[in-house]
Amino acid sequence: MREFLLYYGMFAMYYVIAINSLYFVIMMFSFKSIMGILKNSLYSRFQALSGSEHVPPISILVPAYNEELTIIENVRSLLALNYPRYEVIVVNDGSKDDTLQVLIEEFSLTLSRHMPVQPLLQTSRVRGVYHNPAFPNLYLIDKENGGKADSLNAGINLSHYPLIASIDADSLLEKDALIRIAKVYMENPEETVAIGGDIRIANGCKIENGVVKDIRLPDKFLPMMQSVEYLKAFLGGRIGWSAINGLIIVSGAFGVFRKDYVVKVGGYRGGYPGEDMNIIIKLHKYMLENNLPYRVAFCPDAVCWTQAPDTWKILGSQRRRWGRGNLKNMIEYGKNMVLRPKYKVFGMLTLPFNILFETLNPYFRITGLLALIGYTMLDMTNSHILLIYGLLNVLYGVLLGIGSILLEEIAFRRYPRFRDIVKMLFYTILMFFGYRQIGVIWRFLGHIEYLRNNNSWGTMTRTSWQPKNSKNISSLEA
Amino acid sequence: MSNLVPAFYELLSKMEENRMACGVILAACKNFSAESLELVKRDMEAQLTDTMTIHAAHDKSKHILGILLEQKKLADTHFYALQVKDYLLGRKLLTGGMLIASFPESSRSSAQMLMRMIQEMKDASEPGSIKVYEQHAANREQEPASILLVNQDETVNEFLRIYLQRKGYQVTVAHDGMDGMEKFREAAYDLVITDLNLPVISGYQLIEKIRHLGQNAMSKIMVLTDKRLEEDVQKSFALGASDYITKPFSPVELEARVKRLIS
Repeated sequence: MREFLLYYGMFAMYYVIAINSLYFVIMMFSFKSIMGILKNSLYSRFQALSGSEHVPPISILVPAYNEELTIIENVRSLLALNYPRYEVIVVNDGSKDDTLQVLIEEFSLTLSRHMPVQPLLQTSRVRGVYHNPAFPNLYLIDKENGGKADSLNAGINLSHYPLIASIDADSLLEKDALIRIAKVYMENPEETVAIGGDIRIANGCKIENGVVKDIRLPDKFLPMMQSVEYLKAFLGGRIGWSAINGLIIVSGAFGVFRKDYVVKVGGYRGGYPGEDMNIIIKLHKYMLENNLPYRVAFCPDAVCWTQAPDTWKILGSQRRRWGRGNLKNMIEYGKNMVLRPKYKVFGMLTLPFNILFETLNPYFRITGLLALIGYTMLDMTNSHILLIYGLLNVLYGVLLGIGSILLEEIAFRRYPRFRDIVKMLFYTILMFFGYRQIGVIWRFLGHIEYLRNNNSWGTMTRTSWQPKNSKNISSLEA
Repeated sequence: MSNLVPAFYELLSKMEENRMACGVILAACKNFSAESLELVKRDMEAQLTDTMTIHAAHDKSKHILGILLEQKKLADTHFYALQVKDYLLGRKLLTGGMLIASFPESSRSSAQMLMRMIQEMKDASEPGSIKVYEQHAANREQEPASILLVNQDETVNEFLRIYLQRKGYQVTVAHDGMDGMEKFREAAYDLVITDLNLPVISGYQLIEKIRHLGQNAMSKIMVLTDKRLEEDVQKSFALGASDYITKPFSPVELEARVKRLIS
């Protein structure tokens, strides 16, 4: 027993060192590419681009379920983006409130029968398409409830343009977010299949007419925690992963995709959360299996502001959902692709990393805790070593946090005040005392939910659309 | 905006369509209720020598009584204004001067005429005087042309405002479509320079609404935008814009175009 615990202790040590070092390497990649990204956007003339004939048109898909309070403001702000040619397709997913009515009234939409709906993808029954010639680039699809993925598929069926952007109905795009992301696409239109945008927490910001007027850090504890967390995941993580083309997720809150490939891989998968990670995995799989050169890019200067859950309950349900979606994706695809040389960086690095350090993370943490109890019971603890171990863990984590704040300060400086920086640093450290641990428990609970619900696919559909304020980003990992 | 404009708007535009003359009398008056307005109207109809249709409305906030005389030229309007003055003086209702005009003699656009008359009423004149509204009064010639600038970009707004002001224009800035709409309702502008990408109300809707407010109004519309797509240019001109400039723009060229449009 003692022997076993000793070996486990050694293993835990290596695990922690490995996970943090890998995160560190990824962050180094972020640092490496941030300068390029920064210069690139500095020398780009987005304003001139935003009126240019040569920018590819985009269809913006906005799945909406029970959004009557915020949808008008969001559609208005989407209609005033700096972008030459685009359309906004709102998909009402059988809302139980007046989402459909408020939209129809506000924009005087009428039922139009002769819309070119090509049924490329299977969806729930579409009840009608609404349009108003006075708003030529706004469409409203009314369909029976089928979940977020289903709504996106219905939007794809109606879309007229070769690129699609998926946007959450309660997120706000910065005016030039779309043109910035389109620029990344235009650099390499042949190979770029998906581009993710940067998601930031809007709690605390002043918002007028669907435009973020004054950028502030959140005042409340939970949104502030998530603010730092998102910064770390997006700037520290995703920039690095995209640099080696190993990005595993483009968040559902804001991402741009090539429609032809999305259709080729069968569109979005319904029935389970995590459809945004799922589509990226499928794209990787398709492109690698067909030996096509491709890239999944990340555009950190295209910003989408989102409302973060500010109660433990809603945050918990969001994180459990992420855990569920992640597990589902790993069981469905991960285990068939992991460590197969055919899948290159994605199969050899991203997936093992994801499975080992994200999906299985709670189990290592929990066994670690059990082992700790074992050590204490068998009187093997050496307070000295334990302290060093804990400190090492926290320090490494804080170092990563500081790294991402540094990235933010070098490249973007959205929060220019000095006390904002201090606040972010403080929360970066605070994260390791409680918040992190609760996150692990939520993920574990998500796995339990998954195992319980495994047989009831049908009922999942109805609950897959989460209550308001819980975002449909599948996870922050990678 | 004065409630006289909506009260008379329909009627005036109908007259305008049918190419009929229409006299307008504005008088600074004490406040009275809706019933007494009816009474005043009936009294006057009885007192006036001719039989004809008159319409009356009252603006409570600005204390202006407005009277519309169908099919009366300026000379006739002046004649009747004297009778109206007598009537109002007799009942001690008149508090200031009166302003008269007739469409189409005084102005090509009835809506514009009415709005300018209401503005002119603000300058108090002695009670009992009757002034004739002149479209191209001497003082208005010297008054700088007014421009409404609707744009979201603070930098462009600030720069253009200063640049055009130094060139002798009166510039008002609005930050979004709704703001622009409200400012346009409040005062008449010779030129509206607008972007197409505007929050709340888009540039197209703004152009449409401006055109709808005063169909033949003298307000010219110029589009200043990032959009360089053919369809945007085409649609702007179709909706009634007079010029289309894309960013980045030359301020010298812009000013030259502004000058050509309003001179």
